[in-house]
Amino acid sequence: MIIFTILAAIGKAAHLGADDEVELMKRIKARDEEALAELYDLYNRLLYGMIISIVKKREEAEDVLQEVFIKIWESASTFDEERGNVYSWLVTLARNKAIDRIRSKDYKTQKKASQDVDAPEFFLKGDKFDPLETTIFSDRTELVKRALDKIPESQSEVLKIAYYRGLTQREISEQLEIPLGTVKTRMRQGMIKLKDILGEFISYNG
Amino acid sequence: MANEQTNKEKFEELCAGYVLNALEPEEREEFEVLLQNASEEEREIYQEMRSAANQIAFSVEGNQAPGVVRERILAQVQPEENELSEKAENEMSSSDEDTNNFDRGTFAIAASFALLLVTLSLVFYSFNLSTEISNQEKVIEEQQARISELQNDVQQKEELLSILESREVDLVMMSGMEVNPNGYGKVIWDSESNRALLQVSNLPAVPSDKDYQLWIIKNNKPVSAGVFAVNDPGKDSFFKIEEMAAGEQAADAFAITMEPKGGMPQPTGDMYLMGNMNNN
Repeated sequence: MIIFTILAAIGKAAHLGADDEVELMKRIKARDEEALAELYDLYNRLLYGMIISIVKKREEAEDVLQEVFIKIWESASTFDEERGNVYSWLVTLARNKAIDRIRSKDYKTQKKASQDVDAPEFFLKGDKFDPLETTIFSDRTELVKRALDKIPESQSEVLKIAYYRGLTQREISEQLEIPLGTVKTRMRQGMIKLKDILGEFISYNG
Repeated sequence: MANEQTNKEKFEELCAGYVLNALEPEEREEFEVLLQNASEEEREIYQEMRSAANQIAFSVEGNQAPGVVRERILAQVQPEENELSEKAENEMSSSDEDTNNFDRGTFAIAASFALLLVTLSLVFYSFNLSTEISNQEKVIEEQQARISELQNDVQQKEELLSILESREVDLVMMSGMEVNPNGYGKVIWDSESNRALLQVSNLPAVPSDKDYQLWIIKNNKPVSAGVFAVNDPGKDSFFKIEEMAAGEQAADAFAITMEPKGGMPQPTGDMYLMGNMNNN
């Protein structure tokens, strides 16, 4: 826990706050391309790394990353800072784009559309945990890795597969050849642990 | 209590799948319904799980994207290009507008012309109609005049025929005289009621200031029996003479002379027809 606290403190000092991100989005809404460049500089490492881990190929990851930022530019006006923070929006957008990419290639016969990132989000007045408010990416990466490490592998495995491969619980059960009920239980237990671990960490930082 | 636990577990299970986008469509819908009616605690679980799921993005090493991606993105949103493309778009849209305006203008003119044509056609049509109506009215008037003329004719003929119906009539044949040798005529005389039916043929039309006058001659004394005019020799051939001043005595002869209009007390003009009772 101590290391989390330290990392969080470093992050707070080193990086933009959530308000600054919202400010960036407002400038992007106002067609300030400099703001888009700043947002890119802030997030490209995180998003590109995540996209690569989903689509596997660098060229495709580059395409997807480009799509993501063009989408941000085009649909900035639909971003509602009252309902969700910038981080959640970007990450969800990038993940959905990446998963759409692999699904359009590898899972053409299966129908599972990603949740629409533009759809209104339920009850969200801003995520409780905002990464840029508390830490820098590399520190956060460390943090999340450690959190996942603390979760039994059988549970973190289904979380990672769902997140990075965009598979449904049923598809995971087929892939891993384990009962669907087991996948559901593992996913539930894994998510509860993850939120508890991250929540405990965040709560230290108020 | 056990049931509550089950419900909570069910919510958590669906929620975990939902935030990872790992539910089947029907389960996703099921959870969204649950979420609509979720308790405060459940909403908190959802928010925390959702936030946590978003953190998984950090579980991989960050990776600096090649600078070319940044350049491509910024090139796509460059203001110069935007302005250019916007300008081009504006030009296109303005030329579209021009086209639209032109189309609208053309359409308006065409519509005006069409309206004008229709209006003129209607005016012309209604003018034609009213002309046609007045023509028809004239025809009707003519027909009515013709009808009343025919009615008069019929009435006249009936009156003439009524003379023939009388019990006793005298028929006097009249022949043309020197001034008009081809003329001839008949007098059908109902001496009881002092009426006569006069028929003349081949008498010339009388001048407008003249009339023919029928005379009853008794004891060489002519007595006027009335005047008549032959305006159309082809048509005017029958005349009804009423209230003849013949008296009770039988006439000797009938004669027709041409006299000044309205007739004269005594014959003054040329005699055209003459017929004796004795001829019968």
